[in-house]
Amino acid sequence: MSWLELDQVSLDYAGRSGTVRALDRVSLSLARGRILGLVGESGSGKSSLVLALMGLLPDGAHVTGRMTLDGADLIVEAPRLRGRSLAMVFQDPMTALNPVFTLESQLIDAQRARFPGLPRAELRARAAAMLRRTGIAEPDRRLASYPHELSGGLRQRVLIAMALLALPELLIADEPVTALDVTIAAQIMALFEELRDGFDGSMIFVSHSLALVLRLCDEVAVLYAGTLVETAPVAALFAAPRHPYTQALIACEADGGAGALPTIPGAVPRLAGPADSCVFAPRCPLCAERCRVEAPVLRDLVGGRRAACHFA
Amino acid sequence: MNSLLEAEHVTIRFGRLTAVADASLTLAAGETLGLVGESGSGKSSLAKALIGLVPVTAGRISIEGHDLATLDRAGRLRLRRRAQIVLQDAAASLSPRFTVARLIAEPLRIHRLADSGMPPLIERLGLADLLDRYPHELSGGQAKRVALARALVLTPELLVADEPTAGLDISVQGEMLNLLIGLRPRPGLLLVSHDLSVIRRVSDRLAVLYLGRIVETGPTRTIFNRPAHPYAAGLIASAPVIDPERRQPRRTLSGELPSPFAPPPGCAFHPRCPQAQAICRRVVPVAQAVGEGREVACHFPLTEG
Repeated sequence: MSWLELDQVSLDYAGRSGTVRALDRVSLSLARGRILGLVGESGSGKSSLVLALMGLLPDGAHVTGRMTLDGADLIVEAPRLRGRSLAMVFQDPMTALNPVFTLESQLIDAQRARFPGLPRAELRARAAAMLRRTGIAEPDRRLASYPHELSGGLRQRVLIAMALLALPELLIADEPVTALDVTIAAQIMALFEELRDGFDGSMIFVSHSLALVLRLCDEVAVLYAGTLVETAPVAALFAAPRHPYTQALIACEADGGAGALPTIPGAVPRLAGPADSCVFAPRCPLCAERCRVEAPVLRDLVGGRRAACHFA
Repeated sequence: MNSLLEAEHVTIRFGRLTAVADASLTLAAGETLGLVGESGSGKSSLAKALIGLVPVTAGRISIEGHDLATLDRAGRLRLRRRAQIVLQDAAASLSPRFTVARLIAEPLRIHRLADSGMPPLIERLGLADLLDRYPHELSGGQAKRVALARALVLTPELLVADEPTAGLDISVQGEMLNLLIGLRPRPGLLLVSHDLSVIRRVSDRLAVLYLGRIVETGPTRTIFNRPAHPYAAGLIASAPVIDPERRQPRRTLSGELPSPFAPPPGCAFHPRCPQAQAICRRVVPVAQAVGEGREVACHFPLTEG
């Protein structure tokens, strides 16, 4: 069994008009020290998946299947592991820090679960050292700051420092540069690349940008409408995507030509339950009769990759 | 003068914030100009001012030779017919109480125009199935298309699109851009975006803004291939591109975006500029022609290579 293992994970949200299936039988594994890029458009379930891993799903969410990290059952144990083996960097750095506490108090609190016995002075020193490592000048002075005194880029550096202070074995970054300006996003990506070498845990990097995933990650998992449609080592995926959705997504983003831009016709379907057809069938250029009556399973292909397509 | 739109030394202040300083640009009929910049660059303020939605503090803006500052009531109404904008938050720009059909017909009603152009427009923008819907029943991409239809139904000569793809999934962005590229007859299009790949694809010319100032203008392809302003170079290098060989240089601009309330003296870019010298800290550089239809506001523009 792999170090991080998801086996047939489904997630249903109960709503007034029935249940919505946000994730449908997702199976995925990740070895220690690897970085997984989780890619998908809005409604693909990528945020739901990482919230499930962190044990942060709202009431009314129902998870089935198995999720284990180093043998620990995440469905039961995620709340206990948060702030220790599990840490997360959220999308919006403007709202992820508490506005009424200084950075010092927040960065110290973030270490309490991991280092219950350490004296405050030592936790403070760790916090200052970590701020420096994430590229923040004069960390001792910065510790006295409140979040509103920091720009978005600085706040994201603080949040990355906060996550790393717990020495997580699984670090999840959910669209960590999406809310930032282009030049600042490039700086934060460079920081992730720099930290990658000194980090011996695993990371899940959630993004809608294939370009960013290609830059940082070892492996890619592509989600569409709650279904995992393709997983592959990053170079293989970009060299030869096997699922028509992945192919279309790469074409949309990689476009550099002239004339009309590539698009994916139609819209992401709303999911009500397990499908008995391929979720991508209504938008797929290869769609055949079989795709409308039989949902393809994610099957192993050569080269350590998998795709859920009858024609892959 | 055959410019559709002309802005000369435009400055826009809101209280003690100078959103745009000394900006000059032109747009020819049928041309697409991209306005690119990060937060606080003043691109949205400038775009709104260019069609008279935000008053200018100094400088002059004219559309088809008419100075916006001297228009009377009737003139402003005529201007509204000829110059339209699609706002960034398209969904919020639609009245929640109107159906899509009524929303698209409303500009025609205001300008007392016949609605003969409506059916083909609705067809072209793929809105036929949405006519009875209310704005809250639309997806982000659909709301953008309705807002675009409201602008296009008046067949404007000038169309301003503020971040037309922001907030849209990548598979839907192309749809929106294809609509803009495919407009016939072609209006003069001012495209505001922080997304360089969008600007690169759609615009003929480009104006790069930094902290309220236009730092470089010129043909889009030329600027992307050989940016002359160090900020334009850094911005282009920072944009993520799919690069399977992972050859993309890890060149990034250091430093933060300064507050537009307290821009650095001299060239506002000097604290982040890799080649800043003493003069850059004191003297605001003025835009100078550097050939190939380009203007650069830099004391030491990048040369070949």
